[in-house]
Amino acid sequence: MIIKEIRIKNFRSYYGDKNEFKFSDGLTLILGDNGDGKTTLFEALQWLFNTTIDKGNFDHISEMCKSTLEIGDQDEVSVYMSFEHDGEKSVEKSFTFERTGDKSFRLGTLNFKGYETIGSERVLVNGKNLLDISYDAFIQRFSMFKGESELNVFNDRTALKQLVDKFSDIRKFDELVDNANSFRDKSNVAYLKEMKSDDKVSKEAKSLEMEITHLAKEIHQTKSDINDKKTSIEIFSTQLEKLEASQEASERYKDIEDRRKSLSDKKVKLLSRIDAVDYNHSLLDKLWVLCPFPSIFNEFKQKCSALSKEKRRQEKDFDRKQAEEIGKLKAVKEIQGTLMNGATELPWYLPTPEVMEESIHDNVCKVCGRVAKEGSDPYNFMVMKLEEYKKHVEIKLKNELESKKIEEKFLFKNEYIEELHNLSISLSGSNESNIARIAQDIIDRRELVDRLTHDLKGIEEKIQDIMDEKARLLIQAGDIPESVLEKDFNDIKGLFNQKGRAEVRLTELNKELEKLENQMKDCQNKMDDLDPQSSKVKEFRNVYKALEEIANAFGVAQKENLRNFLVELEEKANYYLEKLSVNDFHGEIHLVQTADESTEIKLFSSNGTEIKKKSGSQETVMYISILFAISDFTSEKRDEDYPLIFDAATSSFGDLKEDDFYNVINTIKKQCIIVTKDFMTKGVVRMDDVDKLNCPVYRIKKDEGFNQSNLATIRTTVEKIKN
Amino acid sequence: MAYITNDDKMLQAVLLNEKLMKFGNYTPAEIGTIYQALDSDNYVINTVAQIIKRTGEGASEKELWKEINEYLKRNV
Repeated sequence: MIIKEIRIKNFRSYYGDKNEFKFSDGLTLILGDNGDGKTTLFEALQWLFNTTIDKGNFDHISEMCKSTLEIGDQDEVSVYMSFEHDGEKSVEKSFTFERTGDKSFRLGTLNFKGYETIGSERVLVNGKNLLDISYDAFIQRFSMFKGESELNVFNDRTALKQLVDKFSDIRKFDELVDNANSFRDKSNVAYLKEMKSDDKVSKEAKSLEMEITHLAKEIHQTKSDINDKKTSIEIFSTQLEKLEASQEASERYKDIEDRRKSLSDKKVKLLSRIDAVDYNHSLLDKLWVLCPFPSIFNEFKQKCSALSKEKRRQEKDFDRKQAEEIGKLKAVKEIQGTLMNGATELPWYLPTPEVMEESIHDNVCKVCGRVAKEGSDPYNFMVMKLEEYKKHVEIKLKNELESKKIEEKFLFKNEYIEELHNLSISLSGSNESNIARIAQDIIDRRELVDRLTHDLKGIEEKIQDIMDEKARLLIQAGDIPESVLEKDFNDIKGLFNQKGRAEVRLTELNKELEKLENQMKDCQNKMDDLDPQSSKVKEFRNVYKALEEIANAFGVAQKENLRNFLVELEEKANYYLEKLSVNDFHGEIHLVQTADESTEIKLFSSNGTEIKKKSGSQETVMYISILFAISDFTSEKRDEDYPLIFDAATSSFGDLKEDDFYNVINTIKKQCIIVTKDFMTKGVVRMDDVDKLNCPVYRIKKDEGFNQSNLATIRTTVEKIKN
Repeated sequence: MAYITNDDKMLQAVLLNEKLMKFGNYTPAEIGTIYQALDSDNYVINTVAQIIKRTGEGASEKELWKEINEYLKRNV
């Protein structure tokens, strides 16, 4: 089967029906960062390929699609694939869904349609049957892989047997071996039964049969014990190998863990210091209302001072102008006095008005005693003098009124500036310093928390770096579990002793078995040497002997077949290992049978040394080589091709390894679909590196503007970035 | 080259066993295909062929045991 096209509609983050991928016969890369929809794509394919599902699933519906539906609206989830498998074919799995309430939806039935081209006609067929024929579950098991940890197909103990059954030169050996063994046992029972009923040898035969039965039980038990011991030794050896191989990794792991613990302690301390900062209600009140007080108050004081100063300046100017005006009034009086007559005269207020009025009345000047008749000059002079006096008095009164008016004028009627100034003075001093102290305290606390938070962020980043380093180490350590890496290397001593004891016991058991088998052989020889009276017994014995030999030959052939299969698989795997490791040391893959009839994949140097400390990328390339080899078997033995689909299988690869690896894969005539975050740095595709590839490349990514806490805003978009 | 069936391959894998050849007193040249082996006069070759062929045809173990046992009784 070669996949031509995949279309995904409303499957989780793949909203809408524009999500299309077209695949080449060789490599197609799909790049996406964390959370961009790589695994969802993989799971959409798994859902399509799973022919045991007969219902739709709410979890598969795009949340974005759900959010756009009104009550009564319908839409569908579907995954479509067109492919080449003895002609053009396609399958589509889909189900509808309808909004029935604010939060409720109803699922429609699941449709699984298939189409195949027969002649020139496109015929509708059952999609499930079509997929079972074209891409059955067995092939899928060796075709789709999620992460690096799934690449070792032999982690599943049944895998080897299934592969041998499917692809070895001679398939279905198990049933034949079981039948042959059963026929041998039945013929033996029949033979012994006849022996025991033979008059001549009955007694001896019974005794020998009892002994044979007893020995058979002991041999069976001993073989079982031997098998157990072999398994134990294998387990000890594996653990020892892992411990030895992981010594360096273990030391690095411990170093990483120490650093992580140290930083975690620092983080806890920082968090407790942040928690210890008092953020009570009072602090918040002060924080919001009074924090700006010192600066605002300072400005207020300055303004009050400036206003006061300005007021005083204006008042001074005003006083000066007032004094000038009063002075001017006085000056006018002086001028008037000098302009009355050219001769020196008495001041205007002498003689008094009473004297002048009496002199006029009496027609006598009371000053000089001369007579001044009415109408005479002296008389007129006195009259004029009295009028001048009155005029003076009048002017004086008027000036006094004007002066009084001037003096009564004020520039500022109110005392507001003084009040403000007084307020400024009253708020100064201890009030001001108390508030400033509280504000400073708040600022200090906030700065402390900011600093601690900044330090915390730095530590969290360092912890994340350490966790990344740990994840890389675990990938590199391969199938060595974290629990093994945690152990002390001193554990080797205990394991070594246990293994030693098991080996000693195995040697003893083998000797016991040899002894028991010799005893059995003696007994069987004795039985064979018996000369029964009945020819029927001889006939049964011959049948048993023939079936015993035949059963043994079936057993040997089965083992030989398995060995041949592993040799062939090894050869093919090494061919790919060499191709995929163009510029690297690659070693040789050895497939080693274990006591439980499974297989271990080992890497050896050409000088025979086992490479126990494999790097993550070495291991990945090794497993992928085996998968290619298995894929070859399907091409050769079943005359079928199938795609190899990997989700994030190359996490342990460095940037340098990526280009070579993918370009080599592209030259191998196998359809590979690799979903990966390779060729990306901080969420951005390195187009320069992508341009060096010779295969089609798709970019999947979250559509912009999503809300991290709302699934309904997340949508994966698909873009072909290289043809 | 003639197409070799899975049965043929199994037949050869079992019958080419040195010990069995010695016991059954036959040579590799006598093995042939599954159909030739079913016609063989050599009871070992014939029995192995019967086990392979009839198992492949889905015969039950009981049924096959009866056939094999009868055949061997007559021919050994």
